[in-house]
Amino acid sequence: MKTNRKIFLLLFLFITVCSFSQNKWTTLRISDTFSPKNDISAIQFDKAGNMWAGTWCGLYKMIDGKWESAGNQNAYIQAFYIDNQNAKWVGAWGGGLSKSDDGASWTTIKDIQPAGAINIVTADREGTVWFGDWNCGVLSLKNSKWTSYKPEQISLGDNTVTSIACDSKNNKWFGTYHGITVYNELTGSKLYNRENSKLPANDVYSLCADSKNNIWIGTTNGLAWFTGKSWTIYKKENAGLPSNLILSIAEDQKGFIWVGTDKGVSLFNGKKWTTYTVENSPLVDNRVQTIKVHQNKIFIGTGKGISIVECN
Amino acid sequence: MDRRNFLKTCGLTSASLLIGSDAFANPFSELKRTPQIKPIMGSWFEFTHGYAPEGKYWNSVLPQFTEAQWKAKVWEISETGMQYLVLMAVANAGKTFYPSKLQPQYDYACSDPLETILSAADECGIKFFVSNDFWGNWEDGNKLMTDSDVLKLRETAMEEIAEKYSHHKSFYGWYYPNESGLWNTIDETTINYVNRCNKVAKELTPHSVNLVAPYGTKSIRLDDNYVRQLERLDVDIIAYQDEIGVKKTKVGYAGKYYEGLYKAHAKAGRARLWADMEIFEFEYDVYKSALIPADFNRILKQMEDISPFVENILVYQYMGIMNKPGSSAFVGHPGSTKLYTDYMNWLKAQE
Repeated sequence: MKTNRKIFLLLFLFITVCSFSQNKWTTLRISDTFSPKNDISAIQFDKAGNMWAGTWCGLYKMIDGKWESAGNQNAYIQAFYIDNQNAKWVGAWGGGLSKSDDGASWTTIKDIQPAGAINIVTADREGTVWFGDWNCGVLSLKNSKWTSYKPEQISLGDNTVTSIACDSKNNKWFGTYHGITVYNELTGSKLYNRENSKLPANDVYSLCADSKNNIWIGTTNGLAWFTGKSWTIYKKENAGLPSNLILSIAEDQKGFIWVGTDKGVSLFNGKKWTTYTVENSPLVDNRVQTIKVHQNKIFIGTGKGISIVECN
Repeated sequence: MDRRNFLKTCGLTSASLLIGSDAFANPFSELKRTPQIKPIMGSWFEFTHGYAPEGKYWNSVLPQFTEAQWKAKVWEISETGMQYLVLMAVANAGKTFYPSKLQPQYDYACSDPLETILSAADECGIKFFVSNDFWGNWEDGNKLMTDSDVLKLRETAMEEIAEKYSHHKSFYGWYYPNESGLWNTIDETTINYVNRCNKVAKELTPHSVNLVAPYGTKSIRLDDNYVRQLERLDVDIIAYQDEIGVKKTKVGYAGKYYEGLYKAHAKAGRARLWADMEIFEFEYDVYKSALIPADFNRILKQMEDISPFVENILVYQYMGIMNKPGSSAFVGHPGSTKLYTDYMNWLKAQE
């Protein structure tokens, strides 16, 4: 029995070391010091392939390996998104919503006032841009026309929208503090919460619609995988996630799911979970606030910089 | 992977093999001893909630509270291990919560709730930060901080309160309740208001320990300018609001703000850093619906996130949000007993 355990231990160590050595890690920081400029809220790539980072102290663009301020200096950026027209959208705490077509000159959007503060910006496959507000529900922009959606119109849990995901079936998923809503212009809307589903908490912080049209839901009490019919809940207790507080989710090009928590990031290959933390990997910070997949690289935005994982 | 990380990984992997099976088997692993998490050391305490829709579950009950019930409530809080209570207001909307020469008194079943709770606190060892306001519309904080008439009224009231109640052992200090909204830094209005209050407080009660609880925590720019403003702010304790309940900050994010504050306060070397942690959520929309108890899972994560950086965690608030099952002074949402029980179970596991 003891021999088996030793063999198992050695095998486990070998696999663990190999799995780390297969991935190349790089760290990027916007400032060399303890700074809100390293507090990353969003990572995006423009049509030219340049990386942009929304931070708690402004927006930055990487040009020739160096970060340059891209406006919104000193803004508390909560949301940043580049749409399929290459327009840049910034949602700032206390700063409203602003847009730039060229990435240099910015216009504050006044059409949607009085939006409090934008928590999230994303777009669906038809190019409609969707906005989740701190206390004004959901807004959308399609062909220059703004539409506002309130809880009673589309079964939103409440007016604080933390996260939005759009799947290929034209469903929009909205995370709030009172559950998650699926909305489809043709088929209507439905709210899922703890009372009518297996959602592990009503506080939904992050969403990801995967390539198979399943929805991954990050809550304050674990991760839910919803196929539209069945629910699977992944938690620290049953999956080995480093924490049940799920801050960010993304699917990579292999269809693997990356899950950011306040205590590290986990990778799920469909069968097995692997967790990376500052203790066992070069991850720059355990507070994983945003994840962006771009050209076979995983860009992990944390409270203290960006870790890039190059997958083999 | 470098050598340091390799060794760490080996150690962690080995450790996880040894402890892994137990950790996964126990669904209540959060209830294990977690010495890195500080317990709740105190709470805000109010005679009424200023914004009625938020106080839906307790505003109508508190005026009926008898002297025995006010005492029981203080004792009940003390039994949770909390040591500090922060009284939100001694007056509200032109009426007082104690017999005063300055304004008419609220018609409460208990003739002097302030005397009652301080007496109970004397007996059970609770330390009270006693409010010095709201001598005007609490929603107009800027006016309350800057208006000369309000200032005179407030300072006269402080004299009256000190005269009537500062003999209590539980009269630990003052709370200046006009909430300063921090945006980038501490503004001059706040500094003038707090420093003036503190000057009067120290004259009346030289040994008082005094507290403010600003909001806007996540918007502070923790730079040298902030340190300079902190140095100028004459107050003993700053309990920053974590703003999780009002949905301005997500759970898991607050810790980084307090980490920065910890560094700034260490540099300034003046006010002590405490937390005003929100243990409520909104029943429906933020600022438009009732405050109800948050899930303890969420609250425990809040506590864990900020514990490394703050000296004490106070909560907003026990009243209406927590209740001991079977309490003779029950007031609040029905779910408040579950939060109480969940917290006390966790606390017992720490012994």
